[in-house]
Amino acid sequence: MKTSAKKWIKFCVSAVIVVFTLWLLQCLLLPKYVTGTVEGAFIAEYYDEVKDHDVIFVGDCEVYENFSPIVLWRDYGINSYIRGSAEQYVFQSYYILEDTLRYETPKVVIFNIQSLCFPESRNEAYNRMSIEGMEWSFSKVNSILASMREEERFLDYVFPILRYHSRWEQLNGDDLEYMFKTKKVSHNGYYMRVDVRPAENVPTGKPLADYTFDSRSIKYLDMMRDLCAEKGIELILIKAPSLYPYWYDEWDAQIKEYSAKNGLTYINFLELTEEIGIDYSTDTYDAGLHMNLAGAEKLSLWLGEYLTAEAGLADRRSETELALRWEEKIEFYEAEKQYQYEFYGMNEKAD
Amino acid sequence: MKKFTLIVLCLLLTVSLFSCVADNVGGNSEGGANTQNGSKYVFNVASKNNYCVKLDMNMKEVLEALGEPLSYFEAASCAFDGLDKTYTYAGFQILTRPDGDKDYINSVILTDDSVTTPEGVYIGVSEADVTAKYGNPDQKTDTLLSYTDGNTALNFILKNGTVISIEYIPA
Repeated sequence: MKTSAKKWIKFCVSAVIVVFTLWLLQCLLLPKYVTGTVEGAFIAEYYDEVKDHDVIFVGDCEVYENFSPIVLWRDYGINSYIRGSAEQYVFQSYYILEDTLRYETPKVVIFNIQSLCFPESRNEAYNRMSIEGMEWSFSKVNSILASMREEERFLDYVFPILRYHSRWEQLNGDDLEYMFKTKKVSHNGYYMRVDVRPAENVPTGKPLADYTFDSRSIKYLDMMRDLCAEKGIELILIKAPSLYPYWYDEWDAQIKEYSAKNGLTYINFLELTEEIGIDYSTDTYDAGLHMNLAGAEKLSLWLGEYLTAEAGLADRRSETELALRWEEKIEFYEAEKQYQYEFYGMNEKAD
Repeated sequence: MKKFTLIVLCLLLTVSLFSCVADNVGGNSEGGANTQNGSKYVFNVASKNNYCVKLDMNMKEVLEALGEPLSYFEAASCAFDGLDKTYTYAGFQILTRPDGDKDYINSVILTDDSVTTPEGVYIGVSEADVTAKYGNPDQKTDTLLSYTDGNTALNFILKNGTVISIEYIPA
């Protein structure tokens, strides 16, 4: 009997040691996204937040590079967060929204509709950046199932070490330094860039054989609409003023029709650039694909005005605890702004 | 101790096997040059002694042959290094995708009737003209005639029965 118990103890201890070793390896090998491709860290950062936001943005780079929650707070007292990731597909945005609503019920959800032109995932690496940072829930499971490409396996998401074992060759100092902790890289989901690269020679869209959005994309948009309606949240559809990829008039007409039919607000910022004051020679850092800080702040000022006047969002700057949290965020924002101006050798300084 | 070592080795071997499978099937699908599959569908640049442009060619060689484009645009991939590039020449555009430090042709778009396919089809001809030259398409809708061979799909985009765009894209 004693021998049998000893055997079991040995077995259990061995198993624990093996699992612990594998866990350590996984911690080491997972991409850290703290330098370079920081976009992979955005989704996970949300869980550290106090979740009482007035506005939640969902979508791809056209939200997380074009709108500054800091401006929305600083100038309008609107508490917002961007839940976006690189090439975040509509089905991923739906499940990220569903996941967000497990924690809070914002007054407004803003969804950027560019991703409707991709009914299926185009890239496993983008799937990883949108999904891996989510905490485990049915939303995450369903997002994996909706996103997986033919060559992907569910198990690789459960045990990421199966996917990343070959990162041995790419390990660097960050992998050791951030093995058990991470550092904040976004500003409530906003990715800051202060540098300038004017938009030039932006190609127009090539003619398409069929401009109709795929039914799978519309299905997830419907689900987003229903989810917001069920929770009493106002869903606002937007098209950010990114000049590329090309946004076709035929696509725009479908969204306008969809919005009208469903009683939703649709804001196409491409039609408002003059009113907002966007200057594509100074307000973009990558030739018109995304806004730089100057462009994002202009857009956010317009949006703050709109959300206050049209969506009736109240100014919350008098809430002491919330204001204190934002003080820290603004400090981080200003510090990064100054760092980037110096890094890019720009003379212009933040206010 | 031996048993413990054996268990550890077995588990690590299992994980290692899983990992190898995962690594083979996963990964970034940005893609590299696929030069193994050719195609009979190519574009010849008449103004450059019928220089033959094919999908997956190294753009550096093509630039040497065609010279500087009329205009050039580059778009960074979201979150990744590398640029998708668009080279605009008279009558056509070449779009490339990055792979390491090289760029490979991802598609060729004919943009006006100053250029033709080697088979003599150009923007503005009718659907019947296309099928007369190419035969029955592999895929057909009211707005598309698509022919596939090897790594290339040759698409004729139609509007009211007339060709409005011609594109060579990955099959």
